[in-house]
Amino acid sequence: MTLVLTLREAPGARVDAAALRPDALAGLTVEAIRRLAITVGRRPAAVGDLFAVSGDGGPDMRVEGDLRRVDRLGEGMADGRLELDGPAGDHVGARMSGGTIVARGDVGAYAGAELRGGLLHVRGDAGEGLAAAYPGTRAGMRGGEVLVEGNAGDEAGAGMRRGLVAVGGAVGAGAGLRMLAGTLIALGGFGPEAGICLRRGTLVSAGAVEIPSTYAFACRYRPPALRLQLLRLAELGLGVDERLLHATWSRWSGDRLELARGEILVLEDDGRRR
Amino acid sequence: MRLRDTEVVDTFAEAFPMHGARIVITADSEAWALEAARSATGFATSVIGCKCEAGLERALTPEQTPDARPGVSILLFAMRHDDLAKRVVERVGQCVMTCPTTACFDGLPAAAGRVPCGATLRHFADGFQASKVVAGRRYWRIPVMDGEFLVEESLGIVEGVGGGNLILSGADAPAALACAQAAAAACRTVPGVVLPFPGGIVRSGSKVGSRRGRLPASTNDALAPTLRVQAPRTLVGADTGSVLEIVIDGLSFEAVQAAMRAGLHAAAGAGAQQVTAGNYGGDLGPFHLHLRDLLDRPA
Repeated sequence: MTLVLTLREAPGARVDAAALRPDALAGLTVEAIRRLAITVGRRPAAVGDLFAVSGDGGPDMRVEGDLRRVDRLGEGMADGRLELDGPAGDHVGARMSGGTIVARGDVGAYAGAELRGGLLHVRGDAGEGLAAAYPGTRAGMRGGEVLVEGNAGDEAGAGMRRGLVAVGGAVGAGAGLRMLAGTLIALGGFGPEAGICLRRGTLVSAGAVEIPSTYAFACRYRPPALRLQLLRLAELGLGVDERLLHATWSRWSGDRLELARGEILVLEDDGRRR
Repeated sequence: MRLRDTEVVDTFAEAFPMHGARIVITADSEAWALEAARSATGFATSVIGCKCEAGLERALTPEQTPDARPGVSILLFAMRHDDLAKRVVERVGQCVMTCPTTACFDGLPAAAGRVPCGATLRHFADGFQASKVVAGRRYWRIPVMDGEFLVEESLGIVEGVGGGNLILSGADAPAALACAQAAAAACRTVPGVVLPFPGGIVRSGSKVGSRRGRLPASTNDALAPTLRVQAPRTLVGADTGSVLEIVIDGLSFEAVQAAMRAGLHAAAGAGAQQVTAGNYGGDLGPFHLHLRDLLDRPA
């Protein structure tokens, strides 16, 4: 039976809800879950003060309500399934290593930051720092998959080392900043300064993108690995237009201020002209 | 025993364990996938002379392949894990990577045993290789002159069964060949098996050893119609003009058995005089596929 936490009313301050993850609550009774400590602003509180709790602590968990002031939901999660019915705060799924989080609304900043494994699927928009490294750390996401059906904010994938991030809409400025490896796909294109200081890794734009002057054009081709990744995204539920699978992409190599072993792939030709 | 008008000898095929891999080759067209598959499975009829046995398993539609392109699955068998690892790299490297537009995937992703494939071939990229992990599986991107060759890091392997066989007799060569072709076609409908010989049919069936002692295998004189008088223990009847063999390797005992059953019934349906099977008295291979167990019609 799914554990359901329903927010009683919008909290007066930001809530640190790092304790709310299905693998940490597994096996606990409803009463024990109600007594769990969380913080609201600087004040300690109990889960039961903010949420109505029903079901039991199994592998599946759902949190309902306007969660925009509830931060760190699913942070560090290693297993299970967490569903967020409503907009959520910052750090959703940050540093998670396994399991699945499905957010049925927008999420705040640093969703999936330094994620190591599992799947974070956001049905709305994501704030800045999606799957990025936290300020002061070198490596961002190190594995797993992040899907955002809407748009994403600035510096998505910054410092990313491994894994797949896909955004159905547009991504803000500085995407893939200092990226080490991995793949960041934006079906709606990137904002300015995408791929700056990228060492390895792949940025993919099916929309607008300004290619930095430190990149050089390599060729037009159909990348077989991208095809596989797009099929994977479609399998996970991201709307991927069939024409992208057959399209030609231009490859820009860079950043030549770094190793120049990275690439920006830009949708060149959707195949209809051939 | 009889199946329709065909005599079925109450004997068994003696098969032995082999390590097997399934390789899925895709390309921009089925024709190019087939080119690569045929090349990769060439000169792979018998481990005795070819170091491995291989064949085309089946054509795959875009819906059945990892990259949604037309494809072909091939099976590759060797006696030892190490041998299979070498053959995989040789054949994928020389015959698939070289073929325009192809990509190469693991056809047994759930198998616990693994042999490296892209993990070794990536060195061809001379440092320019890159990898991507998609759905938990790692692929190597090897830059080549038509773009990139995408190859999975490792391939799953299983303990399979090699040497399943049927030996078919006909009144003359055309009759025996027609029966063997029907049997081979029926065997190929079973998933998880390949028939490694040309067209799935062997005319030079062998016995173990030779009179001069230098060859590990020599002609099966007991089944050669021209030696019916000279061979010490001929098995050829006076009204038999031709004998052909079908050899089957599979990923499991059940798959080989199902293929033999399909082949036996097809051969009988095509009018084979006799169907028997090859064995070495039961001392060499642990898998005994009795023809009497195959008389029930295929499901």
